[in-house]
Amino acid sequence: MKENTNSRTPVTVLTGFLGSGKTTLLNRILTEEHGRRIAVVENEFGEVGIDHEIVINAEEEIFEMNNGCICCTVRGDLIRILGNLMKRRDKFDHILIETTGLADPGPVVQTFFVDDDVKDQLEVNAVVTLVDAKHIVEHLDDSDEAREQIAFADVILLNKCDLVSESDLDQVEARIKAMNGVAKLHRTTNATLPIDQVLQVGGFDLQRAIGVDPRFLDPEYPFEWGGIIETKGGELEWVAEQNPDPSMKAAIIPVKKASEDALAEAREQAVRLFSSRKEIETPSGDSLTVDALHELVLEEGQMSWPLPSLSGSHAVFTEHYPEELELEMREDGNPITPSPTAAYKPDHEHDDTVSSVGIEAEGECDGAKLNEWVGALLREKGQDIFRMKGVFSVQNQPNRIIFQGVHMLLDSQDGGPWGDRPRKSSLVFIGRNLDREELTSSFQQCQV
Amino acid sequence: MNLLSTGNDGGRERRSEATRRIKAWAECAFELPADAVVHVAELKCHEPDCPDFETVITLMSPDSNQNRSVKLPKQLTEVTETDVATAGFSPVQDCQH
Repeated sequence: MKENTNSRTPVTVLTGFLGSGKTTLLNRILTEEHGRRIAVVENEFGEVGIDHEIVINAEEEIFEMNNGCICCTVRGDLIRILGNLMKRRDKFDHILIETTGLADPGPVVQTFFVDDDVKDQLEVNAVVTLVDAKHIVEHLDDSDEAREQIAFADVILLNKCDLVSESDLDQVEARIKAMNGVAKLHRTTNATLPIDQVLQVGGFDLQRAIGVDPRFLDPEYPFEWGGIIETKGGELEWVAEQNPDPSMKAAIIPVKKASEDALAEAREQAVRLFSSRKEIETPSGDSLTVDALHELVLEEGQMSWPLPSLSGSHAVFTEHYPEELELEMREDGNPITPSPTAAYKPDHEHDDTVSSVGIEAEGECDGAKLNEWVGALLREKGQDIFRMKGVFSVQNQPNRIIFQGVHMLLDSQDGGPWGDRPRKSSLVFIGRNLDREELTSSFQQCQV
Repeated sequence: MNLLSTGNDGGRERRSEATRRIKAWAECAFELPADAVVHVAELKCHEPDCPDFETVITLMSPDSNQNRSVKLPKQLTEVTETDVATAGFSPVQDCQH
């Protein structure tokens, strides 16, 4: 048996639609030699032929606690089962809760946030969501539960990968990551992966989130690339070698000089151009103009566009990476090398209302303002925030404040002294209809 | 109310002790069967005009139809044995979301 250094018993919540492979994974966990004694709480009736495990059947029973302003749904069946399990805590060292395919993970996770005695003894180590790679797209289109199961996950098993082509897997994976940029995603067949990657996840870790996507905390832009070109008033054109997409948006903005600062300044102007609701100018024989958003229609046979004759420095922003189209700008037939250039994290154009937002801010927050901001956020957006997690750096507080939230519930813990580490706050929200810009700017107002 | 309190001032421990105390009082006062469970939750309200806290005590019976609950308009650390013993528990409605 492995030594449990944390006095709280770890809990793994297993979610996933019917047919996603939950039972296969559960049977593997129960039969493989991993040295843990696991109490299993399962929803779907059935025998699990393991005699050294505790297997309890649960019937989904949701009840609501509210005081007018705060609404919190918890699972009554779980409270009862966990309460009785904790009376024989010496019999196991891990709890695994299997939910039904259509279960909303919210009440399950909230069950661990409301009772201090439960919080003292149990800790949700990870929500593990199994995804049927072949059918998930239709589930995501049709089902709130499927979207919420992705949103709540710390670990996602994109299972049944053998039934889907590599390119389809890439697309599904991109869509899942757009919804939940924090979860660790594994591609599996028959739910096969080292069991520790399911049972020993180690709770929420922002560094892990950043490890999943190094640009997770970067702001998103409506374009993927920008660069500054220097020209001498010669004949300019843009030449593409490939047209993987039927069209691409682009903008050219005059700048004073070719520098990082000038590119950053132009970037903000480009955001306004790309976001403006003005009709996009599509050049058809005419030249592109500066300070306007253009749509380059990549028709069969047409692979170049004339540009206005430009002198001096101009920032160019394109919807896609130039490499994707093998796009090149030429002056009098000679290629121009843009410098400096920058790649931007694109905003995800998808229909899912579920997304994740990361915010990072160096320095310290004003405690009173932060408290007010968190209160207002939970009150006004709590129903739409599935999970929020992170670290706050608060003025006059020598220690880090680690927080976790589910809907309207928030739990803060002492994260130990900052020491020599640079002070900064890092936050992650996963939820429905999240407004990245509004969340970021309202949080910035709490900064000292 | 400080939503970001980490309980470093001993608050977390006091709250856990208070929760366990309330559970023991309820088990004793209502002679609950061995497999019944008492659940205690303190709801914090974020609205400026609402009372800050309500403590919800729920007696979770093996038969969920027998679940009973009461809300006390105070922090859980302020709940007394008399509060528990004299509280008017009412049936809990199961809800579907």
